[in-house]
Parts: sequence; C-alpha cells; structure tokens
Amino acid sequence: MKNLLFLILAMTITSLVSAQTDTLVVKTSVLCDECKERIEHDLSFEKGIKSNVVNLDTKEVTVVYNAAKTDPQKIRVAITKIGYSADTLKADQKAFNKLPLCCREPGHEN
Amino acid sequence: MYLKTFRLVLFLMVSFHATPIIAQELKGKVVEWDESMKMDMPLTGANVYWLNTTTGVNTDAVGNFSIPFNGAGSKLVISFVGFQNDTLTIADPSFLNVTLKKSVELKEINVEARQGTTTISTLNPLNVEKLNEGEILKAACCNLSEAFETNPTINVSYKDAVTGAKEIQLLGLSGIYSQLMTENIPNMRGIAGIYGLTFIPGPWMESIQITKGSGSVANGFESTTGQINIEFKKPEEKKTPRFYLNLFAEENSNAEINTFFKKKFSGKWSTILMAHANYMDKTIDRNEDGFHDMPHNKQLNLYNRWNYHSGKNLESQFGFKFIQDERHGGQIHPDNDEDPYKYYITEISNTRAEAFGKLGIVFPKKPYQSIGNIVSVTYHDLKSDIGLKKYDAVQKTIYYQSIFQSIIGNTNHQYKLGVGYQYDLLEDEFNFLPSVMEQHVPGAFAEYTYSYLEKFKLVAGIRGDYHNEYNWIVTPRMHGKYNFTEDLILRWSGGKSFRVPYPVADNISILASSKEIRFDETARPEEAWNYGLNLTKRYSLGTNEGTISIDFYRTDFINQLIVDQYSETSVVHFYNLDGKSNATSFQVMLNQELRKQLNIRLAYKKDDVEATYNGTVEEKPMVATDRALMNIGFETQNNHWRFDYTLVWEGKKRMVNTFEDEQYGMRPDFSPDFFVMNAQITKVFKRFEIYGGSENILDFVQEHPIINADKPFSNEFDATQVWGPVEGRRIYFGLRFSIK
Repeated sequence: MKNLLFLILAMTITSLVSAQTDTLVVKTSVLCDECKERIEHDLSFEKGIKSNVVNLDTKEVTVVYNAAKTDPQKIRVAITKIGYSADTLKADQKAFNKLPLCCREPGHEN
Repeated sequence: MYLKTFRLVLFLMVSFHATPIIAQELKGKVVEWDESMKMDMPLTGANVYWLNTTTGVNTDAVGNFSIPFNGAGSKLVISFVGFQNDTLTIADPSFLNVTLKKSVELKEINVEARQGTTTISTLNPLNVEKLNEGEILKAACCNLSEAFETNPTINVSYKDAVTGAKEIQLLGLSGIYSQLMTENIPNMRGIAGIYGLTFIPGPWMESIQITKGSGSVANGFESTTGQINIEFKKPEEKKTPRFYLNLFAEENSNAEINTFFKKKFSGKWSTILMAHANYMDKTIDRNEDGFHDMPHNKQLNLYNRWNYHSGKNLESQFGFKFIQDERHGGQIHPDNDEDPYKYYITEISNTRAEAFGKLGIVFPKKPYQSIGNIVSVTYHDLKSDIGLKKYDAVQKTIYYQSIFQSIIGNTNHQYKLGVGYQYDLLEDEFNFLPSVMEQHVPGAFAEYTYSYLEKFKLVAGIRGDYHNEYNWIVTPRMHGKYNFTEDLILRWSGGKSFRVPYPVADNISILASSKEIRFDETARPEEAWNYGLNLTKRYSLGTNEGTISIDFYRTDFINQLIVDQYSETSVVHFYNLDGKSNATSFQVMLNQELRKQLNIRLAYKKDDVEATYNGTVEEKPMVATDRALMNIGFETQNNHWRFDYTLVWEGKKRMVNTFEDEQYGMRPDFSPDFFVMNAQITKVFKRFEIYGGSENILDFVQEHPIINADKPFSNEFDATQVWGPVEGRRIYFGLRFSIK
C-alpha cells in the first residue's frame, strides 16, 4: 500500500520534472480512428518520445520528444515503419500492407 | 408556499416553450445525401435550435425551417434521430442549406478528449451508468461478479461460506429484484440467477450499463430496482481485435484463459468465437475450521455469434452459448472417501445452453423508424448437494419480442409498440420432493416519448401481460429528464414491477445450515413500486472535468416473499408479506479529474431496508446501511503504465438470531464494519500488456464464518451467517495479447 502510493507519487514527480523537450509536427497519411490509435500506440514506444497526438482533421502528428535521445528525421522514419507517410517520406510498403483495412486506401502509402 | 412552487413549475413549463419575438427570420433547408439515388432527400421533423437557448423549431414536410435570427455569431444546432448533429456558426440571416450525415449507429458524439471509464450520459432520460472496457479491466479478474468492484452502485457479496454463491445488491435489495440482460435480452433468470454472474467472463464484455430505478416497459415487467445490461464484443465492429488472448493466474492456483477470434466474410457476414476456461483445485483452509475457504471450481464457457448486415435495411444477429460449471467444496476429506454422511460436502454443477436471434429492419428513407425482433431460448440444469440437502432443477425458457418504433409527425413525438411472449418451465426437486411450474405469459406494450429539443424528455409506457396462473399483469412506468442547463440534469422515474419468486433457488444459500426450511403458505407473486430522483452536475475546475451525481430511490413492496430468520432460531419461515416492506437508498458520487490522466471517484451510499417479520418491522439482515468507496486511477502520459487503487468501507450489518457456537459463543446483533482494499498495476508493451495486483490487501476476513464447523451434521450448524470477506489477500498476474 505504502509502496504503491510512493510509486504513484514518484511517477507524478518524474513526469512533472521532465527533461528538455522539443515539439515536432509531422504531416502523415492517417484516414480513420484505427490509424490514429495505431500511430499513437506504436510511436509512444520509440526511444525519446514523450507523447504524441494524431489529429485526423489536419492529418498531423504532434510529437513531444527529448532532443538528446532522438531527432526529427528518426521520428519520421519511425512513422513510415508503422505504415504511414511522414512529410516527404513514403510509408514502408511492408508495414502498410499490414495496416487495418480502413487505413489502406490505395494511394495513401505516400 | 405551495402556490408559489406551483407557479414556479408552471413558469418553467411555459418558459421553455415561449419564443422571443424578433423580426428577422433565418430560413433554411435540411437534407440528407442519398447515395443510392444520388440526390438530396429532405428531412422532415429535424430539430433546429440555437445553442444554449430555448428557441427551437422543426423542419416541415420538405425539410424547410424558419427560426428567429439570434444575431451574428450565434451557434445553430441541427439534430435528427439517426443522424450526426451539426452545429453551425451563423453570420447573417441568409438562406441556409444543411446536409446531415447519417450516423452508422446511434453513437455518442465523438469527442477528442479522453472519456472517463465510467460515464453518465446527459442525453438519456434514464439514470444509466456506463462502465466501459477501461473500468471492466480494473477488476482483478474475469467475470461479471467482479466487475463492480470499482463501482459504488452495486454491492457484491458472498451469501454463505461453502458454496461460493454471490449476491448483488442494487438500491439495498437483492439482485433477484433487478434484471440482468445481455444485449437487451433478459438473461440468467430463475435458477440461473444464483451463479449467473460468474458465467459472464470479463474480457468478453464491451461495456456494462447500470440503469437505476424503473426502466422501460419494453424489457418486461420483472425489474424492480433496475437493470444491468451487458454488451459483448461485436464481430462487426472495427475496434474488436481479430484475435485476443488473456491468461490469468492467482497464487491460490486459480488459472483462467479467455480468448476470441473474429472473422469478417465479404462485407456482409462476420462472426466471433469466444472461449473461457478456469480451473481452481487448491485446497485452502486458512481459518483451520476443516472447511474449504473457497470451493474448487472448473468452468468451460463457449460463445459463437454471427452478424449479417445487408448494407441496406436489414441487420441480423444470432448466437449460441454453452456453459459447464462445477464447484466442489465443504469439509476437506481424503480423495478416496467422499461419504456424504461422514463429511459435509457441497457439490454444485450448472449446465447451460443459450441460443438467440435478432432481426432488425430499418427504413433508409425514414431513419426514425425500425422494427426489431428478438427470440431467445435457454436450457439450464442445476444440481446442488449442500451437505445432506439437495436441490436439483431444470429450467427451460423461451423469450420472444417484436418492437415497432416510429414517430408521430416529427421526432419530438416518438413511440414504440411491441408484443412479446415468455415461456418458463421449471421442474425441480427439493430434498426429493418434486414440483413443476409452467408459465405462459403473452403480452403487449406501448411507450411514448416526448422530447423538447435536448432539454426535456418524458417517456411514459404501459404494458399488459396475461399470466396463465395470475391472469392480468399491468405494468405502468414513467421516466424523464429536464436539463436546467447543459450540465445540470434532473431525472425522475417511477413504475411498477411484478415477479414470480423461486423460493428455493432465490435463496439457495439458506440450505447451508441445519435450520429447517418451512414454507408456511403458497408464495404469491412479488409486486412493488419503485420511484426515484437523480441530479447530475457536470463542471470543470480549470481544464479538469468533474461530475457529481446524487440519487434518491425508494421501493415499496405490495407483496414480497419474506424469508424470516428472526422469529425462530432453528427454522427459516417463508411467507407472503403481511405489513410493509420497503427500501430507501441515497447515494452521492463524485468523479473528478485531478490532473491529466489522474482520476478520483468518491462515493457514499445509505440503504435503509426494512420489512415486516411476523408482525414486527425489522431491519433487513445482512445489508450494510452505510458504504463508502474511493477509487483512484492513474495513467502515465505515454499510456505505458496504468495504476488503479480502490478502498471500500462497509458499515455494520444487522444479524439474525442464530445458534450458539460451542467454541466462539453467540453472534452479536450487529457485524463490525470493515475496509477492503484492492490495487492493480498494468504495464503496456508494444504488442501486449501484463498486469498484476492484489485483492483484499488488508487481508481482512470474517473469522469463524461457519457456526459449529466441527459438527456439520448437528442441529446447530450454520454457514449462512456471512457478513464479510471469506477469502483473504489474493495476489494475481495476467497477460493480454491482441491482434487488431
């Protein structure tokens, strides 16, 4: 019990006093809620990524990241490997083929 | 004073109908784009109103409307049942063309913000708490009986110390007075009610809706205190994973597996196959009374369902379910010696098969109109040996219902008409005394809904059913809501219910004692009135949202089957109510976001339940008058960790006169109060999740739950006087894996 409260407290503090972060906005080829969920989930596991939110209307991913651990190009490449385009980079074909049906409309790999 | 109140009410009723007189009119047309005809079709009866005002109109037969202009920059809302709402900012009173988009289903409006795991709708006139997947996952494990752990409205407790039977309480009354439904089909009725909660695996559930108070007449005459509806994972829905696997293990060696596969064929057919199995065979006797603390349990549960969507106007679903469940408990005995005269053994087996079919017809030109048909057939076989007492029963039920739904003129006046039929055949044997109960109940109902924009709603319904033994059953019900503002809502409900009791099955735990069971007279149907009020306020403190919800409900029985343990110590009397029996329930619940991803829920509940026992009004035994709950949920910013913590305080409970325990003496008149604490941690990985937690962390248990445990065949044995946890601290781990 005590340990758990301590853990919660510790998590709260670490997320408040976080390291120097930068923000990057990437244009991408999302189409539906499933694409949004997929990018947000998968991208959150990339090194140095603090948070990321996909906006379906503007087709943009807003990424907050630790500049000491990653850089914009690495983040764009990570997005292409999930199966979506990232600014000028095309989606990885293999990853694209594995996407849910509603994210796979032809012409959206780039 | 009264006159003043009356005037105020009158004023309120008149004022939201009044339309301010402004010379300028905004005119427009509301249409939908019909894909098959490649043209715009006018929408008749759509609601058009200015946001946060009482000024609203409906579109006419060709979709035209005219509304007083509210000034530049005002927001105009256009809504219609079956379509997504549209909100437009109006700059000037020039002619407006609006095309509404059809909502694929009646979805809640899509919001960017993260939704709470428990939500209370502001649109629904019924007081419904929706527990979605996030809330269901907070429970340790794996079935419906555990899903209410973080919810203050429903209490779940063990009924005795040997069979593992659990009872839920809603508004202070036993679960037999609420109605359990799976996707709006009444389920787990009669003899299935006792163990039914453990037959619905957690990971199969998409959401749970708890409706407090009198519900709609469309679901029958049985529910008194409310309804609990379960929605399962649906094969046609995109968010349902294609494959799902959940493994779960407890330190007491309870192991569970839940899995499902989804398959879509062409665009029209889809199916899902779900399986659940659990196995627990470790003998635990922590209090050293010679009895299993928990019975050994084996369960296999299979469910296959199909969905057909014609793409135009026809949707059909059907499915099959099979459940086999066995429990073995009681006194610990050698494997090779199962002599029931030597050892007090409990042996309970349930076999259940269900089949259901649904057929829905919609009218693409009239999105407000539909026809729904439901058929369900169930077979349930219960065998129970509890010591030397025996209750075996087979119940077969058929349920059929057709509902036609449409509007009168426009969607402000909606109605439902329905016919139904319920067949029940119960063949049971109590201590070798067989009996048969056959019920045929055809019926019909009508329900009318009046809506004024999204502000005021009134639903009034009546149903008439003809019972082969009890003749006419008339069930009137009414509920409604009024939005004082968008965020302050008052709901009310009132209605009658009728229920044929199952004296032994409803009270199966009573067999776990040497008390004599005496049916003083033939049980008559139970009838009750229930009425209630709910006030819900949504607010925000800065960017943090919160909800406060206050409930007040009252149930008055006209007749009830009284289970009397007060009058005599060694006999349980069953007789019909002579006098009054009622339950008053008050609850206040606060849900507050403390900061992003950190939520707290605080609740307090007071249940006053009393009935007339042999001429004297007494508090109902084993009901906690006071109960409080705190739940804290926290998720890290990247959603990789989830923490959940629950603390429940349960107040003292009235106990009945019972035998004296030779070692531990007499039971007091009231049980002590106690705390139960649960916590869970989930770690999310890229392709799977692992979780672990502990239930009853404080390790609080009722000491000596069984009276005279060393002499189970004496005249003074009783395992039914259970007021608190019988299981100590439990530690568990689990894994979830899914492929989207």
